[in-house]
Amino acid sequence: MSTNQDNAAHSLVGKELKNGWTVLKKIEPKEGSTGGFFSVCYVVTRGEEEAFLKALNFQAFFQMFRGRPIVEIINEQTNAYQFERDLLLRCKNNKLSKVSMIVDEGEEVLEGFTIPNVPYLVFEMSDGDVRSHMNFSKDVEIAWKLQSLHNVAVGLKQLHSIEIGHQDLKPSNVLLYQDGIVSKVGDLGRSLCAEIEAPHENGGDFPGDLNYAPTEFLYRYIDPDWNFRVRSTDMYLFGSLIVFYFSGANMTALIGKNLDPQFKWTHWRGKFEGVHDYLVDAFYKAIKEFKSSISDKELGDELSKIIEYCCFPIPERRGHPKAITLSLNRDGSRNLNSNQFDFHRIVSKFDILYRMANYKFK
Amino acid sequence: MAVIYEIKERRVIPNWRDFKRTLQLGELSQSNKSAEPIILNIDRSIEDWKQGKNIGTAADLINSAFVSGIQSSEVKQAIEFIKSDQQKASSSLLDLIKLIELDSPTPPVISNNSLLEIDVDTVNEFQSFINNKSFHKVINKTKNRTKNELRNPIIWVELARLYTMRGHEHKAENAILTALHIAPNNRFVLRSATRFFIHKEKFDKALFYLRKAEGLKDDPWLISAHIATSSIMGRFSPLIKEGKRLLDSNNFSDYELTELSSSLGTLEFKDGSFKKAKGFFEKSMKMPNDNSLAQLEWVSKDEQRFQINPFQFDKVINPFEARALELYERGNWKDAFYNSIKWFLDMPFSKRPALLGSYIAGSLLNDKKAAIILCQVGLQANPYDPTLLNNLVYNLATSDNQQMLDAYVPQMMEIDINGLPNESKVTFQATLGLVSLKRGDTELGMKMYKVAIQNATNIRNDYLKNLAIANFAMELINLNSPEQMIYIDLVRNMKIPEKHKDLQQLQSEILKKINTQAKN
Repeated sequence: MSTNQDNAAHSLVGKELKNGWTVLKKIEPKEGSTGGFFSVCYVVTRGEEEAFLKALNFQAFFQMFRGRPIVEIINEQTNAYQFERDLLLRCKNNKLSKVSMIVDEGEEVLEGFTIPNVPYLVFEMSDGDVRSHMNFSKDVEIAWKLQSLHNVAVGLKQLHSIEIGHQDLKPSNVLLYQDGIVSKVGDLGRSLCAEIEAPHENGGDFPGDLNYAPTEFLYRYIDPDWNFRVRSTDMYLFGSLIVFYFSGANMTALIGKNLDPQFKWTHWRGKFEGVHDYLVDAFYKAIKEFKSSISDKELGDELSKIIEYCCFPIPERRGHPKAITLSLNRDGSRNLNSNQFDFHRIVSKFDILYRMANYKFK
Repeated sequence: MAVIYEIKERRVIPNWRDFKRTLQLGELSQSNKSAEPIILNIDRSIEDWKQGKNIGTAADLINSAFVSGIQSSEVKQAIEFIKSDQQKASSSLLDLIKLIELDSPTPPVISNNSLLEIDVDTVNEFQSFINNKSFHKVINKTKNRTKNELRNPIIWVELARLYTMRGHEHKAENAILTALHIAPNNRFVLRSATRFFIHKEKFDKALFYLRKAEGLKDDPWLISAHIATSSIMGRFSPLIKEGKRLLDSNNFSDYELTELSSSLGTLEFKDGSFKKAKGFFEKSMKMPNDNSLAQLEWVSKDEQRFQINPFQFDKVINPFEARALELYERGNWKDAFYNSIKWFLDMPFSKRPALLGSYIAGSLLNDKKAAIILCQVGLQANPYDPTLLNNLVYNLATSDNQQMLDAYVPQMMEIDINGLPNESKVTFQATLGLVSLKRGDTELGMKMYKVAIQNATNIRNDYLKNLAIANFAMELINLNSPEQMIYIDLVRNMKIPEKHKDLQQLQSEILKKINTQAKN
């Protein structure tokens, strides 16, 4: 018997689920979309409503983690699923407009399979992720890029307002809706929440894709302050996303490119502090390089300023410059209530930038 | 008369180069290991690429490949995909592709052991290198970078270096203090600052910032700087013991320990312990850099038991100081001059290469123009240096450049001669004697020369005495003075040690000139 034949998660096509969804078809790998290793995706309908169903694929766990105790795997993955579901419900309850929303969730039991249970989440249907819409040549779709980034900034601000840090923001997790006009932040699978413990909260290690991680994580530096770490990470990832939109490179790659190889994370064997100053030097070179990818000087300057405070490679110095000084108490300890990593300034700035761009570049 | 100013006791003070070259020389590497590099994977990006091939997923995969250092057939596909439609790619993305395709970073190409910001072949090129206008532009550009990169200590150090090359002491100090404020523990910043403060004879400050640095005790490059600076001040560094511990720790490469070994060797040498010094110097020569090589070259001139041929160390980059000193010692003026120029280009704020080069050019190669240029360049970084000013005036006077002489002599006269070391006083008096003779004030000129000779005798410096006599004799011959025979006899009967080949040449030139005159 092949894997898929004894796999309930792969056998939903044609089924009518308990809460009224009809499974139309399995989504074969679609341009720009991310299926994930542990889920099977379908198009489902309920009345006129069309949506995207993500079924948890237990079989994949065993394929990925052969040799590990089954109880451990089930426990780990079930916790991960429950965590994501809880976060999504939290977003839904708070009506976050720029976060890819869960429409429904449930569990189907399909008799005749070794593992008959198929927990699933139903999301609003997207047009794919932002990568399918990308063009990195100069002056192309500037207004659209700025609008998309504005949407993402709003999404992050909304998440932060309900104590969620995304932690895995990257191009594949920015989903497009309404023919690409609206962008939303998707995939909270690696997110962290101040009020719900995440199964992947592994001593403060970076939970997202390390190839997009803020540089400190690549040197194994973990800020001990949860709130500070989570918010500063999202801010870096957002800045890095801006860089990707316009240059096709993320900030981590650009810093690495401008860093002498002996200091790069793949070689360095010393402490993070030992490489601080060289990262800063490489970072400024990266910003200069980024600027050169934008023809319009004014826009280049504005975006560079935002990137500079979003992506500064030393986390303590990251964040809005006005808030950094405010973030220290008189005794020099960190003021956790500061708005060093607040997205409100960024949202306002992108709002202005994309409106201006609508006149300037369209 | 012109002289080479030679430091009485050379220490292993860090050499100060721009950041790029310092990196290339490997002086910022760190083999003290505390963690393994992180392991990354690119499976998710590969999976996404397989599911949907577009420029976005291709860029995603290329970023992941570059960040992780992982290559795969899918990465190659993504690269080809982007290359096939370059119009949609950015230059950054194409650059990343180039770096991935290179696989390993290209080591810097260093030919003829030379790693200079700019190299020159002629004196005219050298002159254009220090051209005011273009240099001003470089400073302005760097200053603008500091404004845009306020928290970048590297660029503040670069600005300080440029200001130091121009002799703007206060501006340079402000820039170096800013760098120290931003990065008080950074090796590049601290070693640059140490050299700067020593250049400005602010030894206390050099020690202060070194002492404050975290990690000082575990950094052989910084301990060496601390030992050397303390030694200049006549103190014993409390880090000597730590330095010896690092030498025995097996945690560092021979290259990382070369300056520390050399510093410790110099201390033992000063203390008269030849055997211990020899051990340290031998260790320092296992993989020397330009600084430790020059240190042993200098020590070998003082102590015959240390034998060194700097040309045998053909892997040392920028060995110009050691080679210039060695070639000068051998009497190979032309190559010694050439290496002095390179040495100056390597360290364009240092007066020692300017002095050596200008002395060789003006007094031994009879290339007054080159000597004058070198003195002027040296004075830019060291505007009030009496020896440079002296040598400039000497070369102007002997080349009969009356106009420039009139411009520089007043500057020289402003220097308080009483505040100078005895050796410099002799030089000054002789040069002022020369100027007076050139200006027709024979009586004053002769008087000044005689005072110089007497003072050299008083301080028992035979070299200076003979140099003053030879220079005086040359001028008396030019003037056809009745007193010339007295000094010609003195020159003829001089017993010049083998090591003073410059004096030997001067002696031979004077005697040749007399013979020629006698024949005519």
